[in-house]
Formats: sequence, structure tokens, C-alpha cells
Amino acid sequence: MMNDISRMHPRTILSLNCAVTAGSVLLCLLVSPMRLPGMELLTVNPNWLLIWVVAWSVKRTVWQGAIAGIALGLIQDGMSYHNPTHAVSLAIVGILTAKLQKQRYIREDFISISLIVFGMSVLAATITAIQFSLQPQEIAAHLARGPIGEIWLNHQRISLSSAILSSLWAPVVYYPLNRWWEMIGSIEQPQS
Amino acid sequence: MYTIRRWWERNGLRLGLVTLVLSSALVIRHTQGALVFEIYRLLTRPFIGEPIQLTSTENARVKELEQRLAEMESQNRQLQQLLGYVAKQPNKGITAPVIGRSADQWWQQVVLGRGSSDGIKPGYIVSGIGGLVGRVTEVTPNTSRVLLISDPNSRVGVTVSRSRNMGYIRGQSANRVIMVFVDKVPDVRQGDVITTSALSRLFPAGLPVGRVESINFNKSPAPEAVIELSAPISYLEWVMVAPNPMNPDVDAQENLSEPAPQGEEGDRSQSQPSENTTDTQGQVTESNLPAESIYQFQNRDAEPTYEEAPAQSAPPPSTEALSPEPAAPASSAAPPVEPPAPSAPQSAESLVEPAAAPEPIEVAPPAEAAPPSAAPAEAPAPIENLPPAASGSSSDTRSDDP
Repeated sequence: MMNDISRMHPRTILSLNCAVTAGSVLLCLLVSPMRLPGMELLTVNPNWLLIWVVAWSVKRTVWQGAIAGIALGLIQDGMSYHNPTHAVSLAIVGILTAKLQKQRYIREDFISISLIVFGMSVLAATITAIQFSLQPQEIAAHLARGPIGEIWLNHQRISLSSAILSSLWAPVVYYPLNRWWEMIGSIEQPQS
Repeated sequence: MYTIRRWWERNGLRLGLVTLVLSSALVIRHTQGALVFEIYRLLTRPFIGEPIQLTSTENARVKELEQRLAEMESQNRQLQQLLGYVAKQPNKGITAPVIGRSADQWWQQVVLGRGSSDGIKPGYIVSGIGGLVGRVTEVTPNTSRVLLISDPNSRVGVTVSRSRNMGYIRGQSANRVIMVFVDKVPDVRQGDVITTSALSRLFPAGLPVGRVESINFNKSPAPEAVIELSAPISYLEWVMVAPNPMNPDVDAQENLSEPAPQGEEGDRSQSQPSENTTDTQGQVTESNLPAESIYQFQNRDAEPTYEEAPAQSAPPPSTEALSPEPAAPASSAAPPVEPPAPSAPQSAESLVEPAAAPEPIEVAPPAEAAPPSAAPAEAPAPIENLPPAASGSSSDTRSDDP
């Protein structure tokens, strides 16, 4: 298969790469509203888009991570609710994950990806909780998430279950994507 | 020039890709993910079963019927008091499969497999086997998104079916909601049936919501109760979507009157103390009149509490008496407890001449409408004491709060 692809025109390879990447995002989006057995813990589902952002950013630059986070955050805004926006938390996740790569003690295997996803899920839930708490008072009265204590109670439940589930499901997204991008990279490498 | 061109050759493609990605993300956001949900529905269509499963959960069905019956009995007592009550038209509902849940962890939503091509609009009421489930917030051609009443952002005005004590519910977790009472000392017991109240603008009155599981009277500022929802929110498969009978154009009104378009379920009952002068408040209070202050109107002629009763109910009729022409559309948008046209003049008249209240109303209501009262028919004294105690306390707390 690799030979087939390496014989293609660089433009074709590029568009194929784009299609596969966009397709993987679409798959993550489609699986988000789904609740199959093993995908739900305390009514919380794994954060698929966060897994994708981590898988994307782990071997890329800070900017690429940030842009991916913003784009997926905007899409998730459209699919759930846009206030507070998801773009902030996902962009920060993308930036931090891209930063992590420089540190030598993180090796690229499943366990470390799962660990990163675990930490980033907790972080993303915390950022969202902060966003909820920082909402102006008059909006908060209407859009009331209840008292602030309740937000943080929800945060505990959401961050923990989402982190556990996301880290367990992370290899499902990471492994095939990583293989694909490695293959594309090894084809593009000799040419450039 | 040359450097710019070189830069463009090197980074143009990348820049183009980034712009493409970000703009398509923005488009998806502005269309509320319509494309994604349409694809999702196409893919999940083969897995949607038949609505026959509706009958499989008989337990919940029985529970719903019980609750509806309790609500009907209670409502029936009130209806006998009200002359000129217009019966609600039976809604034609749309059966819709639940094909997905919220795409995010902080919101409790479901995705339905029917959309605007089947006639669903934002603001429609969604109910499951056991009772109320939520409200449609977003619609695409073939899917629609429902904000569940178990979402912490959902606020629904509810009432205790037995004692008509008001409050609102706030979502908590999958199958439990918190009910916050308006009264300081509500008449509520464990196991009481909770239904949507006439104060709610977003939901029609009388839909079963759940049962009281536990009550915390010590909670400040108002007592709270934990309600167990009667609809199986966590494993919904099929739901009924029906237009909101009290407010068919609820979406248009929502967008005009509310700051945030869909997320808030802010019901008027909880924000009532703060704003009493607006037009919407006028209709809400008016819709409340038959339920709560009917006693005051009836007992007024013979009563020492004559001054108190008009003082409590003065604001709504006076605003209507000043401006009769806005009152008519306002009451037509309000819950159909009374016929729209005569309601405003009636209440104004009865204010002026309380003795004109018809006799059937006078005889019937105190006997049945005050549930815990002992032998009210023969003894007028307890009747007189009861209404100010029950409804007076509620209106007192309301006027005290701001």
C-alpha cells in the first residue's frame, strides 16, 4: 500500500492526506453524539475531539495545535452550545500538547498518549468550569448553571469520568492516525 | 516583491489550508452542525427500530397514567370553578426516534431523527413515555436537538399537583432534578406528583414531570425538593414532539424577549419578583389568577380581608384596565385557562364589583379547592382563614423578595 501511495503525484498525496485527516475529524464528530456500550460513564462520554486534538498536536508545532484546537472547538460549539465556547479549552490543549513533545521523557506509545489525554481532559473540563463561573451575573441568572458550587460539583463528575473514558479510548483514534501520518511523512521526507 | 512571492510559494498552500479549515469550522458552527447531524442521521438510520417499543416499558406507562390522573383530578376541581374554560385542543404529536445524545459533556441534550421537514420547530415540547422530557432548541431538515429538563440550564416552572404550590426545577443529573419552591413553607410531601405549572411560558401546564423523592425544608433562601423524573431520561428511545399549545410562536417570542437564544430555559416563575411591571408579567400574573387567587375573589364580599385581596391582585388588572388593546393579544398568548377576550374585562369588573361573582363559583370552590381543609362547606370561618394563609403567604414571599 505504501508503494502504491508513494508512486502517486505529490498533489494527489496531499489531497489524500487532507481527505483522511478531515475524514478522521468527521468520524470523531459523528461518534460524539453516539452512546455505545462502554462509551458512557455517569452519563458522560469520552471527549473525542480532545483525543483528536492531542493525537494531532503531539508531533506538531504549537501553531498547528492551536489552530486545530480552535477549529474543532468552533465545530463543537455548533454541535452543542456556543456559550461558553469550546475553542478556548481545545486550543489550550493543542498548544500544551505540542509543547510537551519537546520533553524527552514522554515517549510516543499508547501509555503516554493515554496519560496525556487523561491530563488534558481534566484540564479542558477545568477551563470550561472556569468559563462557566466567570460568566457575567445577569447572563448567569438566566443561563443559570446554578450556584458556583454546583458548577464545580459537576466539574468533578465530568472531568473524572471524561478523563477516564477518553484516555481508554485514545488509542483507537491515535493509533491509525499516527500510522497514516508517519507513512505520509516517510514518503514526503525524501523529496523535500 | 520577490521575497513575497517566495514566501507565498513556500507558505501559500499552508495558509490556504488553515483558512479553509477555520472557515469551514465557522460555517459548521453557524449552521449548528447541521451537516454533521444530517450525516449522523443517515448513518444511524438502519439501526433505528420500530416505535413498538413504546409499549414494552409498561411500568413507566402505568406511572405516567397515575400521575396524569392525579393531575387531572386536581385540575378538574379547579375547572369546575371556572366558567368559560376553553378546553385544550388535543395536539397532534410527531413520534421521533432518539438517535443521539449531547456532543459535549456539559450539556444534557438528545438528538431526534425528525426535523423541520416533519414540521418540528424550535420551542416544541418533547415528552417521553413517563412525562415531560425537554424542549426543541435547534432544528435541521431531518434532525432536531432537544435540551432536556435534566440539564442544569433548564428551568421549568412546576407545581405540586396536590396542593398547587409553585416552584421551579433545576436540572441536576440524569434522572433527578431539584425543585425550588416559591413559598417559604410549601405544602409538599414525599411522593407528591409534580407537573408543569401555568406560570411556565415555555411548557404547557399540567404535563407530568415526576415525583418528590425527598424534601429539604432548611434550605435557604427557599426550601428545595429532589424530584425523580418520571420519564426515563437516560434511556429514551422514542419521544413525542408536539407544538406548544399555549404559545405556538414561542420561538419568535423567545428570540425577541430573551438575551440568550436557546440555552436558557428561564421560566418566569423564578424571575417574577424582580420585574412586575412589564407586559409579559401582566399576562403571567393573570394566568395565575384563576389558580391562586380565586378564593380571594369569591370570598371578598363577605370578608374582612377585602382590602388585602385587591391589594394583592391589583397590579395586573390595573395595567389591563389602562390599556385594553394590548391586553387582548397578551392574554391570547398566555395559557388558555380563560377565554382570551372576556378575561380582561371580567377580572376588571369583578374587581370593581365583587358581589357580581356568580353563585356556582362561590358554592363550589372552597369545598374542593382547599385540599387539606376540614369540612369547609358548613363553616365559612375556616374558608376565610385558609385562603389568606395559603395564597397570602405565597404572594407575601413574592413581594418581599425584591
